[in-house]
Amino acid sequence: MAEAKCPRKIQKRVCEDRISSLSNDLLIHILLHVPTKDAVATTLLSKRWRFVWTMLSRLTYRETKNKSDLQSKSVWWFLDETMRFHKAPLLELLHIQLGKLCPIDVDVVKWVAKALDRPLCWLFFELLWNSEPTKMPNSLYTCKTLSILTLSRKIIVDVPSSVSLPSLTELDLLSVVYKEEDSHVRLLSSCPVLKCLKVVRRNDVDDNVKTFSIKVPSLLSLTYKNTIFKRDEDDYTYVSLVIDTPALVYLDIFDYTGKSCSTEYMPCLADATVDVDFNPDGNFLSSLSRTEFMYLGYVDNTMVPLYNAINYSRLIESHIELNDIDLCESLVVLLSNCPKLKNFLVKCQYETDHFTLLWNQPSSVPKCLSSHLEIFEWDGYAGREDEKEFIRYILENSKCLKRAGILLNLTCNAEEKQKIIEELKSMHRVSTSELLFSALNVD
Amino acid sequence: MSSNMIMLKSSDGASFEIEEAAARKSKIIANMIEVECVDEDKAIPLQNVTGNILALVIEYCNKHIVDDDDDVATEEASEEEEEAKKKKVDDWEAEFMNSMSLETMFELLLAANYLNIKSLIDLVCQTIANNIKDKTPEEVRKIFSIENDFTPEEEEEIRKENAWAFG
Repeated sequence: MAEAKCPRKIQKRVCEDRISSLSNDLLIHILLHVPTKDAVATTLLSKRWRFVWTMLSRLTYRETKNKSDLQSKSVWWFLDETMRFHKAPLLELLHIQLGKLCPIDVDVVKWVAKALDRPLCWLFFELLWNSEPTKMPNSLYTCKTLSILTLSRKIIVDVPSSVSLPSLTELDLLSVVYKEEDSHVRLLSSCPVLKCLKVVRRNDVDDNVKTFSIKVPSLLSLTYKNTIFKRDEDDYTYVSLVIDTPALVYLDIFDYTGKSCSTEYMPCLADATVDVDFNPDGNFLSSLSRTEFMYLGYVDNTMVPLYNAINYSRLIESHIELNDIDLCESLVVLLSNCPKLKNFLVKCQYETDHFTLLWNQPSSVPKCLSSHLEIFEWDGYAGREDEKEFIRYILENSKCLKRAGILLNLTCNAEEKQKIIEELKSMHRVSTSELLFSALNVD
Repeated sequence: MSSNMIMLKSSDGASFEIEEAAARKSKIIANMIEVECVDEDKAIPLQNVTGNILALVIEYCNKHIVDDDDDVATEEASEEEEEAKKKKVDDWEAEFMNSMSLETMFELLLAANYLNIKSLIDLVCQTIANNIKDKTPEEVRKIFSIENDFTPEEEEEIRKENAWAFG
């Protein structure tokens, strides 16, 4: 372009350079709204801009897929080239995500170590390189200013004895490995103000932990996902889980490996998502009785008596996935223990081929049906007798019902299906609710 | 909430009437109201803001004070309603920023900074930043009329130091 040759004359006529006369604070504020790569590139604009970016308090290095695969280069090189110039006195955020292209013969955490010389508030570090898990600098575990920390993938959590994270409120440990059984215990016990914890454990790595023990008095929110699925029973050692978090409000747990889960009572628990195949202990069940929202992702015949023995006096919304047959009657028992329930959503997960069970009308109508239930959903309706009677019972007795949804899981032909829908439609409804249908399997 | 009106006076002598609740979006004005007991008959002089820019600032503040009131009125608004409301604000902001030149944008940024209206500073910075994002240094220079005062040798040196960024 022509203006590249003689920029001065032409541009002065057009308009003046307003942006360069802004204060450094405002320029940095603007650059915080662009990707780090674009912010660093402003170093080339003019002398005024040469070092503005080096005062940025938030830096994000994220591996991206390059369009020209052959020439793509890890973001590591950009990190390595730019961090040496960076000199902001405080780092609000350092986000480093290194992918498979990351060279394996470099000191991959050296810039984290350098960042830790200054106050650092938020560190995200994910490593996916083709090499062994790496250690973080020891200074990470004694950082006084760190309030949010995410460690992800090929990282070995090796916690020194002097660990202390007095400001840490959020911690994510995502598919990392631990130096030894107690590493995570030492780490968690050194976070006096930790509020949110997320732990993910994956089936393709042995993370060296048998008993995962979460003992954090300040914790409000816990997400624990153990995606290690049972393999051969013989060559597999079970792992167990310990939850001791008396202040917890939000719990999301997914675990099909744990042999057991030992918990302490959580009187503040309001929101629980539980997807496990072991039987919950007494403290766990008492804690569930405090919830307003509850999702049970796996319920079989052995669990039903346990869940049904509790009174859910505050429960407003309940989602349940049934993994065994013959549970419709149990659902009525559950409903009679949920006096305030407004939303009730059931999903049937089991094979639907065999026998038809008989339904016994319960002696008294659960309180929630006559005074609270507004939304009812049955996902996976196969047309079995007990299902049909259960739905009929709900529609006949729910005085406040606003919406009932039935998702069909039928293998029959269109004509028969229409018959089943007509049958459901003809059921007597005590309220003027709408009845919605949706087919899962259409054929 | 009272709907007290206060007067603001721009550097070029124009007067504007604004609801106190809207004016409080500016930390500086909120401070003045608190410590100086603003006289209802007297306009607050804003020496660094011209009338046409002050009009934009007031338009922004008025728009956002209405939204804040809505939040109070519908405490139990559903997620969809919240989303719809947020989209409405986003659309308004996009339209608001779209209607002005870069020149005006810088004036507005300085005014927002002087009056200390954090959300407006963010909005303008974001809009200016959109003109830097995904652009080459040459394109950015052109958009903002930035004069390249490096010698070719200096420029080459910097490019070498930051090879990755310009690769």
